[in-house]
Amino acid sequence: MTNLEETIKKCASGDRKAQTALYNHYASKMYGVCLRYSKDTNEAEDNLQDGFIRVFTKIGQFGFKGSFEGWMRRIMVNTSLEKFRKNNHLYPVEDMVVFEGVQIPEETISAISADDLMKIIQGLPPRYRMVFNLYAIEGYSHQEIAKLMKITEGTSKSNLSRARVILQKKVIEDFGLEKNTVTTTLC
Amino acid sequence: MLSENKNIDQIFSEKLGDYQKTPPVFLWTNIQQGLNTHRKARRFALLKTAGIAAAVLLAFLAGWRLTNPDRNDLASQNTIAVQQDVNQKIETSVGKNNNPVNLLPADSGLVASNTSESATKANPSGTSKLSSLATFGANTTFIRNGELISAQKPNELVLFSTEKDFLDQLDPNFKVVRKLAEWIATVGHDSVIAVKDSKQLNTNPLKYKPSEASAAIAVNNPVRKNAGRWSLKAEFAPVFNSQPQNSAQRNNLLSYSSQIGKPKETTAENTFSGGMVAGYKVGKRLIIKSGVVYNNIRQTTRNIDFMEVNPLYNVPGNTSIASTPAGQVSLNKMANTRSATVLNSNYQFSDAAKYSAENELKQDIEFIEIPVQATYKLIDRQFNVGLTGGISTNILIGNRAIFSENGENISNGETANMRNFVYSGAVGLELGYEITNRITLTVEPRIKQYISSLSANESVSYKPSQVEIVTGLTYCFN
Repeated sequence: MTNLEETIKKCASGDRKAQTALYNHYASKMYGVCLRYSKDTNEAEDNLQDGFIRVFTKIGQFGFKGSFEGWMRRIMVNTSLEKFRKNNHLYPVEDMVVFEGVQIPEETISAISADDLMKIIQGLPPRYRMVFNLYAIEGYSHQEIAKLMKITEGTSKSNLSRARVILQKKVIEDFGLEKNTVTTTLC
Repeated sequence: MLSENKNIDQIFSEKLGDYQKTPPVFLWTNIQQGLNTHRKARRFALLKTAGIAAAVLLAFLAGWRLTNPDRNDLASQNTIAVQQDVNQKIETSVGKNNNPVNLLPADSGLVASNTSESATKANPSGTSKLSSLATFGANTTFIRNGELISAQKPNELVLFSTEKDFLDQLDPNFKVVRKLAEWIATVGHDSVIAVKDSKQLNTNPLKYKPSEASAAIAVNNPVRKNAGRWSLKAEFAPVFNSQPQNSAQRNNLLSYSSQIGKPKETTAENTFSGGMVAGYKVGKRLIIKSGVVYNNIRQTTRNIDFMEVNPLYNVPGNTSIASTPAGQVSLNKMANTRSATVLNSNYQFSDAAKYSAENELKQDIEFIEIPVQATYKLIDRQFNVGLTGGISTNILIGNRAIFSENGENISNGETANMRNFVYSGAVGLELGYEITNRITLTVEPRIKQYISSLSANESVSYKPSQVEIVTGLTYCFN
């Protein structure tokens, strides 16, 4: 894509070639975003599809004032959140683990692949996954998350905390640490 | 170590922040389809808005016309406008009767004659000051210099409120004049009446010879039978769709009979149509019509087979397809395919097909129809009969497919490859009854045939026909 602004304008006028070029350029990145917010590839594909349809129908509203990629990313995130709200997942609170002095060596961390982490994050309960993604990866504050997800800030903090615990547990389980450092409690 | 060097947030953020993965190829196809659907939905919304606006405007205009009695009264009158001088020269020469007809008061100074000879006798100049038979039509008013002239004044024109008044004053012996008067009263829509016949009439019954300084303009408005050139009709019709032939698109896998042991069966369902049609009378008996009409076609297929992921038939992973007379139907992939006979990627019937419950696929295809029709009135009386024929452009505005089992919706989708524009022809017999001068109730049995296939797929020829019983109310303007 030689000229992003021109391509965006053509997309706004419904130029199918420009839309194809834009899709080819950003599809992989946006699919990565959708995968993080989804429980599996099917859900991520649905979100990516709906997200891109929304991008192309609203692209005329992009004001060229910020990063286009950031704008697209927000649309993908919002699409995933809407899907989550629509489905209204009410997952039971799961068994929680409490870690006492758990430590992961640097070498172990660098050996973990992105695909492995993706599987772990997709295994989170939906609300925890949403809050963790928004806070830890997108950089939203708890106040913003509370508005986006229509929950309280306290709930957001609590969900984040629980998400972290589950993720830590999974990382430790999957990538090997002494099991005697982990205790399991029921919350 | 984790707690000291990197927390869990950082690990995920660094590794997944810019995570990329190529999505499946079919996704772009789905996005394009979604964009097309969105475009159609937007177009439909615009049409709907325009339709509502037009309906509101028409309702306003109709209301305004109905609630403006002065205008209506004037419109129903025959008016003769005399610019300056009422004493214009009008020649009348009627029939073979030699007896003059004195229609006016003795002191009026106006003389009517029914032959050219008698006219000459009565008025040496060969003319009369009388408007005479020009006043035959009912509801006649004379206007001079923009003012209504009252009747029965000396040296003024004589008015008859109805033709009966006039006829009552005729000498019973003057049958020809009476007959002529009756005829004029029934014709009543031409400004200048010309009688080419006859043995009884020497020449035109009325002949205006305005002086240089004055000119008479006779303007007649149509009487009831020809009330108005413009009309507006609101119509509604039950629609009986033709039964589809189950011989359209097939492929080897989908044509297998269902595992539940019942043959696939597609039946058409009855629907309805309705809309607004404007008419313009281009001749005495010919009316051209056009408007906006909603119409739809609905069919149900029972015991249908589905095929899921199948690269051989280009079926993507998130859809299920089925074959119907209207073409392939593409549905969102069914998570719990309980009754559908599913063919999996290995071209084997899947285990999920062991249920024997009834399943049903409903297809609903909606159009906005823009007809161009001509109606020829065979009988044009209070009860009127006309032949109607025309062609229509049908704009696709809705395309839904719903798969259900025992009344429970399992999945949604649409019929593939539907054309956005298709053409149809229709013929009908219009039976009308004039409730009032302006409002006519019509019933029209009509046969409609789609000329082009509804599907753009060359292997599918789906040209349904419809029988409609169109009931409408027509309002005539002017």
